[in-house]
Amino acid sequence: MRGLTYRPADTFLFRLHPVVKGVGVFAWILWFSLHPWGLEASGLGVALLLVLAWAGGVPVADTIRELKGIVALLVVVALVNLTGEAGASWWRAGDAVARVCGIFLWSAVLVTVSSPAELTFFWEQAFRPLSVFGIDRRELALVMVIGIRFLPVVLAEIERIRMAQAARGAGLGRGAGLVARIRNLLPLLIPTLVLSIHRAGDLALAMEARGYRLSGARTRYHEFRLGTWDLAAAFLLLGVLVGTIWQGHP
Amino acid sequence: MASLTFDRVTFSYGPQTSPILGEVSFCLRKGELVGLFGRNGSGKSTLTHLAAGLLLPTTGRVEVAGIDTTARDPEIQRRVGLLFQDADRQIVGVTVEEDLAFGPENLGMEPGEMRARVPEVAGRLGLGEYLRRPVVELSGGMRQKLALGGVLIMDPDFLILDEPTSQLDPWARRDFWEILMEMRAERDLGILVVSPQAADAERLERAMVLHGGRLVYDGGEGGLWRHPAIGEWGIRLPESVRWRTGIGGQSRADDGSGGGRREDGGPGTAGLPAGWPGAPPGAPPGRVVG
Repeated sequence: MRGLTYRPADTFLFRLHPVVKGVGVFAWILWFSLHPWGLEASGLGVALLLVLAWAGGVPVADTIRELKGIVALLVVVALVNLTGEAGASWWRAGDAVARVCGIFLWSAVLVTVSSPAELTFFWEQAFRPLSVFGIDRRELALVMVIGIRFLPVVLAEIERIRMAQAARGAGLGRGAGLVARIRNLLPLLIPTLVLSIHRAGDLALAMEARGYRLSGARTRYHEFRLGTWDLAAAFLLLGVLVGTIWQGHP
Repeated sequence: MASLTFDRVTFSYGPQTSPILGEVSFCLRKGELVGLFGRNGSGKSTLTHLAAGLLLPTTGRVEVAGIDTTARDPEIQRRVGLLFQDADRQIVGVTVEEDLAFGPENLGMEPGEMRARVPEVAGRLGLGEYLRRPVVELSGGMRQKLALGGVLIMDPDFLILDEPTSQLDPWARRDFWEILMEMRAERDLGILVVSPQAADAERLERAMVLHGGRLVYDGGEGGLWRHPAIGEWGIRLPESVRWRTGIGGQSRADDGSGGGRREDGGPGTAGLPAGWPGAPPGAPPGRVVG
């Protein structure tokens, strides 16, 4: 999934307000999950998605290529629908696969057209209801940002530890079966956990040194304002979703 | 003039534990460039955390421009910038601009002012083209510059640098120091460098040595190299100082080979040809091989 990163461009999709992008994608995910019209509608939904993405400056071919990361899931989904209860058919399996593809592709488009700052802003708004329970949504969003920031660093550290252990004869990844392989990977877990705890401690110190305070009044570098296009897109999506639910569950 | 002052500071992590620092007193003024030396475990990191207000003294006082660190005033973090040895451990933002904006956001800076300062600081550090680039795509040298930018954007009076160039190649180290010296001249920054690299030692104006949690030397950089106890303090005489001063019995006058070695067995800088970062003055010119 290396291709799934923000690729800045200046098109209508990229210019949309982060909340409209996020809610829009969730609306499409709901649509793919709920619509009652079978393979034709799912196929049409995927085609519409690809046209919108292409018109919005998203590298469509690269995005489709990322589907190879979920091939196993698609096969399982297809098999379940082929071998299930009465009514199982190629048609139904195709519909299920198209729905999963649609959900995945919309998520991929969201990641491609949203900068980390936009995603953070979206999550902050999504976590807003949690403030009823006294949970600070900016803190939660910051936790997600730090997770995104340090994921590649932790993966690199795991690789470094793996190579260091392999250089000393540890047969990581080798073994007779899956259980043996998993058992062989256990030696990676402890050093990775220890390093991550050290790193978290250092990061907390560094954040404090840069003026970070829990519940401190912070300003925002990025500001997002709703425009006419955002409202139009939001109403269109709302219409599609409500129409779908109305048709499916009259 | 604003200063960072330690007044008979002791620190221990608990009442039952032995003190990490004992009765440490010194004053870092704006515009000064000071090196802090000492063995591992001598209390250097603790001292830097006390100076930045991240730890509070057990006894004594730490003051930053007259503000006692026990006041927990956010102004202390604005005035004292702390740069860690490993830049990766202090970069918080996913992209360059987000990381540069992290400190100003915490200090409540107006968004308009932030949007003016972030590109300005990035430009000064040579990161202007990379504002929207993910941090993971930057080289080690660029990440160290970004970490420095994250500190400088808060317009500090004092910078505390913990082995700032130990993970950089000679070129990145030269760039780093050039930027730092430029900023220092502009803003009259007071700088404390912890465990400076041998090649950076000659930039220092003053040196301090921590040994067993006590400040055992505070004086001119030149005097440190002549001090009879530097071996006991675990300080190695930098090759460049040996060349410059003749201390340690190996000066240009008595050994013109330029092939000196570090005391720790490393390659040193004396063998570097002229023009290479860290090469001693008068080194023979390099030649292209192959």
